[in-house]
Amino acid sequence: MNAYETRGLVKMYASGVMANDGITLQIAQGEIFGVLGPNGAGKSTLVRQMVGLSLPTRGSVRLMGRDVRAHDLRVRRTVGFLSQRPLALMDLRASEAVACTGMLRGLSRRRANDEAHQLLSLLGMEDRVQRLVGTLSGGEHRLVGMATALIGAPPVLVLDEPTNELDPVARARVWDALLARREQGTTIILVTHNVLEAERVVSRVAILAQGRVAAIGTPGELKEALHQLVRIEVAVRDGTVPTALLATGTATRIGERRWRIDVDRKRLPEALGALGRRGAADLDDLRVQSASLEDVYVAYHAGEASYDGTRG
Amino acid sequence: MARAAEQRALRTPGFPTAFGVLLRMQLARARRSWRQYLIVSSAMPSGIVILLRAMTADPPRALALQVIAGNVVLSVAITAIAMLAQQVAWMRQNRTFDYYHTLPVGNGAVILAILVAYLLFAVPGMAVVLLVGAMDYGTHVALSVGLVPAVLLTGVALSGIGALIGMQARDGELAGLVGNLVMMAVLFLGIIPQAHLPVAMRVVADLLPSTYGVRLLLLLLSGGASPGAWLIDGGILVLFAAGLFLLVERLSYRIG
Ligand SMILES: Nc1ncnc2c1ncn2[C@@H]1O[C@H](COP(=O)(O)OP(=O)(O)O)[C@@H](O)[C@H]1O
Ligand SMILES: [Mg+2]
Repeated sequence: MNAYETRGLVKMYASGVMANDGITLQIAQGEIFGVLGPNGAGKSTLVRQMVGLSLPTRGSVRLMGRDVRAHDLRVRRTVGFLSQRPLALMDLRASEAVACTGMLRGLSRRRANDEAHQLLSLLGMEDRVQRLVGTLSGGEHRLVGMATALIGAPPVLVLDEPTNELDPVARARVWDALLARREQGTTIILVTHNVLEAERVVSRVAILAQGRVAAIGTPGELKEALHQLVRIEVAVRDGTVPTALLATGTATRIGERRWRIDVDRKRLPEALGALGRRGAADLDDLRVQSASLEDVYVAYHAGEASYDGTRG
Repeated sequence: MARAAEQRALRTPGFPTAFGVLLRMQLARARRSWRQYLIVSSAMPSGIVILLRAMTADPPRALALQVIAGNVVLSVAITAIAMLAQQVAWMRQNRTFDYYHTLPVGNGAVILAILVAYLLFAVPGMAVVLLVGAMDYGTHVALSVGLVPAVLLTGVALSGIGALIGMQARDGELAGLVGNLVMMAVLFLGIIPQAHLPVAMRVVADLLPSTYGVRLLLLLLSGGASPGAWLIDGGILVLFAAGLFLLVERLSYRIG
C-alpha cells in the first residue's frame, strides 16, 4: 500500500487563487519524496492538505489508504510535520519545546526529555537547549522545529523546506538525520529549494509549476529525459583550448582562460581524446559533469522540457 | 505493510496528560510577562476602587462590596477578555494552531489549556484588587473557600468570550479593540447595581456572564451565598462556560 495518494487534488483559496490544480501522486512507504518548484507553485498548499491543515476544494488525499479528512486523529498520530512558518513556541526553552511535543505524541516525560536532548545534539544544538525559542536565530529556530517533527519517531514525515535558512553544516546534519530515518523505514515527503543536496537523498521528485505536476520521476530519469548532454569545463594556463575539443559541442568562453563545452554523451570519448592529445602540463582545472537535478529544475521552470516518469 | 505501519503509529496521550503538558506550555509565557499581567490586571480596577472611595463620603457597606466585587470581576475581564482575545487572534494569525492541529491532542484540551492559563494569569491581579478594596473601604470582607469556585467559573466564562472574540476577529488589533469594548461593558454593568440601570442596559447585563459572577461574589463577600444563589448564578455561569467552550472548540477546527 502507498503511504500517500493524492487524486485530482484541487485547492482554490477564497481569494480565487488556484494553488493546486489537479495533483495526482503516489508515494510509496519508505520513500524520500522531494517536492520542488518555484515560489508560489503550490508546494506548501499541497503538503498542508496532506497533513489535514487545509481541506481540498476537490479531490482527495489518502494516508495509508484512508482519507485524511475523515481520519484526522489517525493523521495526527502518524505524521510529523514541519511547517514552512516558524515554530510558534517562542516562550519555551528549546529542549522544552521538543520534549513537550514528544509528550503530546505519547512519550513519557523521561523518554521525551532524553529524546529531545539527543535530537537537539544530533542537529548541532547542544549549546542551545536552554535558550528560549524566541531568542534563537532563524536557522536555530528551524532546527528546533525539525526536532519537534522528528521526536517520537513518527512513521511519516512531511517537511516544508527543512533546510531553509540553515548554514551548510547544519544542512548536512539535517540530511544525515533524514537518511538515518529512511534506514528505519520512515516515509519522508519534503519540499526543498536545495535541489543539489536533495538529489543525494531523494528517491523521487515531483516538480510543481503553477499548481500542477510538471514532471515526476527519479532524479536519474528526469536528467536522462532532459538531455543527453555532458558538460565539460576546462581552464588552461595560456588560454588555448584545442579547436578539436571546442568542435565536439557547444562551446562558451566563461572566463579569461576558462571554457565550457556542452557535449553530446556519444561524443564524450572524442572530446576527451582531443583534450588528451594536448597534454596536461598547463591544465589548471578540468570538470566533467552530467546534468544535475538543478539543470532539470531550471529547464522545467523555463518551459524547455516536459517529461512524466509515470507515463514513460 | 499496513499492519506494520498501524502498529508503529504513535500513541495518543490521555486527556489529563495532554492538558497538563499544554497548560505548562501556555504558562511558560508568564516567565517573561508576569509583571505585565499583574500590573495590567490590577492597576485599573484598583484605581477605580480608590477613585470611587474618594468620591463617596461614608459609603454604605453594600455599595462598598458592590464596588469591590465589580472590580475583582473587571480584573478577571482584563486578562480573560481583552488580553486573551488579542492572544488568540495572534495565535491564529501566526498559525500557532497549526502546530497543535498536527499533534494527536484534541482541540478541546488546547483551548482549555489556553483559557485556564489566562485565568491563572488573572489571579494575582484579582487578589490585589480584593486587598486594596478591603483596606481602602475599611470594611469587613468575608473571605471563604466559595470565592475560589465562583471566581474560577466567572473566569472560564469570561475567557470563553475572550477566545470567541479572538477566533472571530479579522486580526489581533480588531480583537483587542472589541475585547476592550466588552471589558468596558463588564466594568459599568458590574459596578452599577442592576436596579439603577436603564432597561436596555439590564438586557445587556443579563447577557454577560460577568453579571452573575459579580452577583455571586457580592453574596460571598457579604457573608455567604445560599444554595439557591449557587444553583441559579453558579448554574448560569456553568452554562455560559460550557456553551462558550464548545463554540470556541468548534471554531478552532475551521481551518484553511
Ligand atoms: N491562505 C492563503 N490564502 C490565499 N492564497 C494563498 C494562501 N496560501 C497560499 N496562497 C497562494 O497560493 C499560491 C501557492 O502558494 P504556496 O502553496 O504557498 O506556494 P509555494 O509553497 O510553492 O511557494 C500562491 O499564489 C499563494 O499566494
Ligand atoms: Mg511554500
